[in-house]
Amino acid sequence: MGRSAATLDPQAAEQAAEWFARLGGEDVSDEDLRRWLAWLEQLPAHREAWSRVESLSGRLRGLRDPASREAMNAAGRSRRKILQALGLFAVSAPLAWLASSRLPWREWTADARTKVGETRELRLADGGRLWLDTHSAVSVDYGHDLRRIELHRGALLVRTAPDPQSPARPLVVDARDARLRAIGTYFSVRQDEADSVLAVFEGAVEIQLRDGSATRRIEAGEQVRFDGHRIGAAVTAQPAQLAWSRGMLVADDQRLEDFLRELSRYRADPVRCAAEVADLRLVGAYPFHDFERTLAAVARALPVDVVADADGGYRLVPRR
Amino acid sequence: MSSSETQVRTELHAMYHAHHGWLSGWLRGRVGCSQRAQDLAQDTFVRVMTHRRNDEPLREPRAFLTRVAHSLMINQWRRESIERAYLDALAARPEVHAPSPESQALVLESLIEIDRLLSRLRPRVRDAFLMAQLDGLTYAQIGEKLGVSDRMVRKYMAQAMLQCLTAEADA
Repeated sequence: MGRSAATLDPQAAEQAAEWFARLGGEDVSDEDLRRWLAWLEQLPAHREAWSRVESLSGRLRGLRDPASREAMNAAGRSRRKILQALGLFAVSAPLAWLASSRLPWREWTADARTKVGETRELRLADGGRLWLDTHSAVSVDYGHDLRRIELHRGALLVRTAPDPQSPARPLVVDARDARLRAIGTYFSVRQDEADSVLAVFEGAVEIQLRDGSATRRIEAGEQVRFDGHRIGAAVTAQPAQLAWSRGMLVADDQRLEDFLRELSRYRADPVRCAAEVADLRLVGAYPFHDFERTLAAVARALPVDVVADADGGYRLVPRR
Repeated sequence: MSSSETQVRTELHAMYHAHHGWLSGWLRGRVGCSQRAQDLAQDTFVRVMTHRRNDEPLREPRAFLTRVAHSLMINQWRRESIERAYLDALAARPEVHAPSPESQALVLESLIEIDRLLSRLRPRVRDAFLMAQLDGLTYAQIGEKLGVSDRMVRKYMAQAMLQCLTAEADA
């Protein structure tokens, strides 16, 4: 009756709970973040445990209205009374949990999209995994001789699995400006208005521009920008290109204005800042689903105040 | 089906025949409604059937059955108390803010599930966890309210999350 077929490793669960507690605090350091990402990468059991943490926090976020809060308070009170009266602890009842954040692929082809602010993890038919960032859309088409993922909008992260079919079909991601061929790998693509970013974390990816003008192999640990005409120079792959799939926005000595632009991708209403504070530098990991907490954390890290605008947006101004 | 599973099944059949009537009576005395007592007795056996994998024969089946029935009763009460509190709270608010019946049902399921996952936590740990997750308070703010250090609050968070993960995996 569990929500996933995979089992929960007790040690991984304990560590995931520790990370959850640490990352929820106010003093998350850059070093914490690196260690957390390393922990995630270490074992599949760690990722499984963490995805459960995320699913739980997601459900809790869905209960942030006054009526739900009151009901939880009442449940706490009545529970205490019942326990006192009976002098025993309740055995947990089995309850099917249907609203899972994971959608299984019913067939070999599928479309998936996310709304603004939503991220989603999907399991591919071959056992691989696909994460969709905010406001993204893909089509997946596993055909006779190609496993093809088309990125229509936004960003994705994919962890490929070996093809169960023999001979193995190549896995490709078709983005607006290029075809990316996976070579046993874990990588992300993000499509912005002007250009795109490819970051490779394991294995390698062969990138070929649509117009056929350039082809290059990008290795693990590298990241490149590309558009319809050229592929830029490779730089070190940024944890930020991976961290969004775990619900985190990473600022690694980033300008406040740039950080807020990233954060705004997850919101219908933008978050802006005054020109005087735009160049302040920010370091840390911020849970973008928890918008209020993120803003509060930024206001603690930098000398800024948060002002709510009449249009529903927010503005960061110099602290008075 | 393995021989031990067959054995468990045979044992359950025997237990049903020997104790079902007795259990219904025992429950009627507590919930005061025979239809409800019947339903609970039924649920109790279903629960025992789906959760018992142990080969050991039960030495005191009635004690075991009443323990399971008890927990089902408590869960039902709590379910009802959450439902009542939620609907009361909604009723007290202006109608324009009222969620649709569908989303009310989803929120209720969610509330009951989360409450179940948190049910074995110490009240203090549960409170701290809800303050962080539902009220968005910082660890420092929670620590101040509960009179404990930030470090302790962080420990509470880890305990609560671990408990949720474990309870969910066991369900």
